[in-house]
Amino acid sequence: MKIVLVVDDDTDIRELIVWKLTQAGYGTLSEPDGAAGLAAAAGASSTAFGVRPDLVILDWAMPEMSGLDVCLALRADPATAGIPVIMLTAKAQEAQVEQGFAAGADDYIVKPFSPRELVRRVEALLGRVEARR
Amino acid sequence: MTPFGGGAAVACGLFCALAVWAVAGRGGRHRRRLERDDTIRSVLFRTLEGPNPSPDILGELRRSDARLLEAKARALLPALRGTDRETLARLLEERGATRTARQRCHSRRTNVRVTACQLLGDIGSSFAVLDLVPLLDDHRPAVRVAAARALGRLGQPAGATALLGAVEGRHPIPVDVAADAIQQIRDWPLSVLHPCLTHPSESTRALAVEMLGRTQALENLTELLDILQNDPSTDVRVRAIRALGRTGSPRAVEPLMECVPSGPPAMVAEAVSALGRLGATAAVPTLRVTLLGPSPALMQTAVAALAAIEPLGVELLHEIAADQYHPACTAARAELVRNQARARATTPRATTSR
Repeated sequence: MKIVLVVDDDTDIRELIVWKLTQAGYGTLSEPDGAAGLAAAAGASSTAFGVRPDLVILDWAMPEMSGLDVCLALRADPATAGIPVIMLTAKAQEAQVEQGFAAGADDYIVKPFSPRELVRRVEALLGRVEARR
Repeated sequence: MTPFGGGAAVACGLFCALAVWAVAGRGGRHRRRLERDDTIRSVLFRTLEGPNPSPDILGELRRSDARLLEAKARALLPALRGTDRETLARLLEERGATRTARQRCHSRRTNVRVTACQLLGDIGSSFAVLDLVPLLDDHRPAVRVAAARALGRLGQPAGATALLGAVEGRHPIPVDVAADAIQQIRDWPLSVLHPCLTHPSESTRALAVEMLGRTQALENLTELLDILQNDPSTDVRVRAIRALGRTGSPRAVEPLMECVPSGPPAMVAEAVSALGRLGATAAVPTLRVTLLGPSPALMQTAVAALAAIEPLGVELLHEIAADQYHPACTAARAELVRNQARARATTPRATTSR
């Protein structure tokens, strides 16, 4: 079972994404902030120690450590550099999208978003990763 | 132990027991609230699974739980689009949220009117136009802005006509707020904007130019050039310059270059930026002169514009970056680094397998 890590400080949105992914047959990890998300991506989640995600969904605007910083940190660490990242954010300006991709995001989804479309994008991205292996 | 000492020990013990009971009680209440949140959330998410909200599930809820469910649905609504959003909107509509919000548009309290506008915009009921349009003339700016944004989200052509008239008068809404809202409204004939280009009100002309610019349509070029040369308002001309930059037409280059040597600072900065957006090679010598001006902000804008002009502008930036005595040397170096980052960002990144 593929594991998806959802990092978002908005509990309702985070839980909705987790619900949708679970319904679609994915395993999930969820964290409310950037630092905890980074630890979970490295396999040190507080709820499932040792489980490493196959994909990360990251909100941008979070207190203390932003999603952009998390993405840069993921790319800088050889252990997590290969994990596909989807940025899910309300930041919709062209420059911000460019910044997101420059930080290493594989896909960029702007809020308001369709949860069903998000699940399809997760499927597509994981499928491409699988095909490359 | 003296009787007094015994009493103190009992009092101290009682105090400690009370403190422990209070802390445990608070923790328990917090835990119960989280559990209730989880339960209500799962009920809400289950309603999203079907095509329609299930009345059976919702009917089983206590009144306070139903209120919490509605609050969660309202909080989620602005973040969602697509089928799930429609289901949530239908759920709220069925539970009477639209009716309540329409009533609250007439509340005396500003924040209640603002929240009502937001909810009506989020739910997207077309009837709400009738309640939102009068609020464009509300005496509180926050309500006017909320009503304008809600009308944009509703996407009704009647809302666009009202927004166009709302940028002037006793209680005007900001031009950019109106433009953002109108931009979301489809099926609205842009030809309505053309008579507004000669309207006596500066704000109406500014809005019309802004909207024409956002369409990026070449057929508006002649009108925009005419406004650039003849409109008495600097704000309107600045917007015309921005609009010309968005058209991507080489015909706009010459008139924009004429704005750079002299003119109000806002117009010069916008013209420099527009020339960069047009990738106007002919403008490189003009932009080079701008780099030597006294304004650091204008120099920064000119450097960014040059970075967008391939290859001559970028070559000039390399030349300036190598000359440590040039006033724009540091800005040119920083822009070249940003340019490289942008180039990396636009190159498709292969997802490496682990």
